[in-house]
Amino acid sequence: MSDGLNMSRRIRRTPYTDNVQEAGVRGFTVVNHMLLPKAYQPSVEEDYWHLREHVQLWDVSCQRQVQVTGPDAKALIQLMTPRDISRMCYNDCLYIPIIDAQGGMINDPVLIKLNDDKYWLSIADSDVLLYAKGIAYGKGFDVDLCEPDVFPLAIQGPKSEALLCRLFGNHIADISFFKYGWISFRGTKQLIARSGYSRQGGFEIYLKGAHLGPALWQTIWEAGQDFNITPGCPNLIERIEGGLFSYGNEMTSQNNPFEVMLGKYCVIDGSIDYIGLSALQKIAASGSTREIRGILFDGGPCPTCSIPWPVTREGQEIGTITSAIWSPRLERNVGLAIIENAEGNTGKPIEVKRPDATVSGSVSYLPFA
Amino acid sequence: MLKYTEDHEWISLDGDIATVGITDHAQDALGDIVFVELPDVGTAVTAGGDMATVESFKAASSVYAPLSGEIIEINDSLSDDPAQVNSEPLGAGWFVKIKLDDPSAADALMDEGAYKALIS
Repeated sequence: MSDGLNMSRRIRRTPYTDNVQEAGVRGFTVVNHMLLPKAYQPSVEEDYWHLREHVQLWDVSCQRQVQVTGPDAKALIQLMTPRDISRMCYNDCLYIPIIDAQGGMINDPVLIKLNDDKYWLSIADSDVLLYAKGIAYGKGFDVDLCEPDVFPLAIQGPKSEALLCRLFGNHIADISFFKYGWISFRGTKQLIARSGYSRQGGFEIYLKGAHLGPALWQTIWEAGQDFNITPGCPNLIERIEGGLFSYGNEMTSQNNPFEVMLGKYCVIDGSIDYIGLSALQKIAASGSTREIRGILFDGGPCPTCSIPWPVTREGQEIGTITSAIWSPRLERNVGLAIIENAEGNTGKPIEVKRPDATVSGSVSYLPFA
Repeated sequence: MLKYTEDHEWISLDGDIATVGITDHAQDALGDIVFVELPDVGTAVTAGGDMATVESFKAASSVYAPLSGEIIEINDSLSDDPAQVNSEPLGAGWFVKIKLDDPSAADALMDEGAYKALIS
């Protein structure tokens, strides 16, 4: 294995890892203690253009599910999030912030309602299961919590619908964005949602049964040949251009939802109760003006942003870039940064201290035009 | 004839009633719409103030009232099919109808040519 990862039982393989390696993966990262492919094509740019025009198959098993089952399932989840989940319907997928008592972001999962007493939290990169277990124990909730035998496989790109309709039937086209339906695969019923970590459209199959993983990958792979399918993974260019945030990069527990444009998901009028309510009320009352923005900056293709890069305006630091890359479409570097006085600084000239140079740039709304 | 705001809303005026939605440029920038939250009928809105919320992929954005007045009708069909905002932003994807306090205030909004210049 390349990339200096010391492979061990701590870093979990997925049901698709054999397929991924056979498909020519060039390296992995680790999310939720599980492998996530990070590159296939010779360059991220080629991967980007292909994603915008065709269809890709992504092993996103690292989006682990936290399964909450039992009569208090809904109450537990509501206690973890400032978003009102009371009107959530069967077949809904709902994006929710999960926060701690200080209002800090714990995670930003997609909540899937399977029935009134059963939910999945499809999580970003932090240990939500442990947080949920602690709250459930402390509150004496009647719930079962586990990580189920479910491994998401994403089909992303503009040709994904046509491919999946051919494979599983035309009912796939009737699934609305952030809703889910069902497919049959080898005698099993599998959940499929119109969702995924790109803005190019697509679906995620929440495969239940790890033993079916290689066959599912192969089935889609073979059918996808007519659609110019390639293996893929979340693309950094597409993600930043589209203003998609990554837990651990753009946000940590040191950030509150208002800073990462999730304020509209937070009910702070007291009509629902949750951990962190009073903290969010205080933050909202304080009029904090820190908020995430896009940064366009010069200097030719930038190196990987592995540590935050200072952003200054008139010599004063106003934030740090946490993710950045060269955009071949915009022909400039694009980055994401939490900016002080975000509204006042938007559209204004700034400087970015890249590792190799200090360059000019500007603050932009997201997503990038 | 449609008029436009700098915040990418459009209005269609019929006497003192304005039908309001978001532009094709706005829906394209937002991406697939998951959810639209509309105000209650009878709500008073102020030009430039929050009027509705549009949720797209992992983002929720405000839609602002283009002019002041009272909400007299909302497009209920968006609750079942918010994708109409993507597919027909200037038609079936309309948001609300506002009885304007001052219909002549619409004269100050952009015409199509000015709006196209704004987004070009």
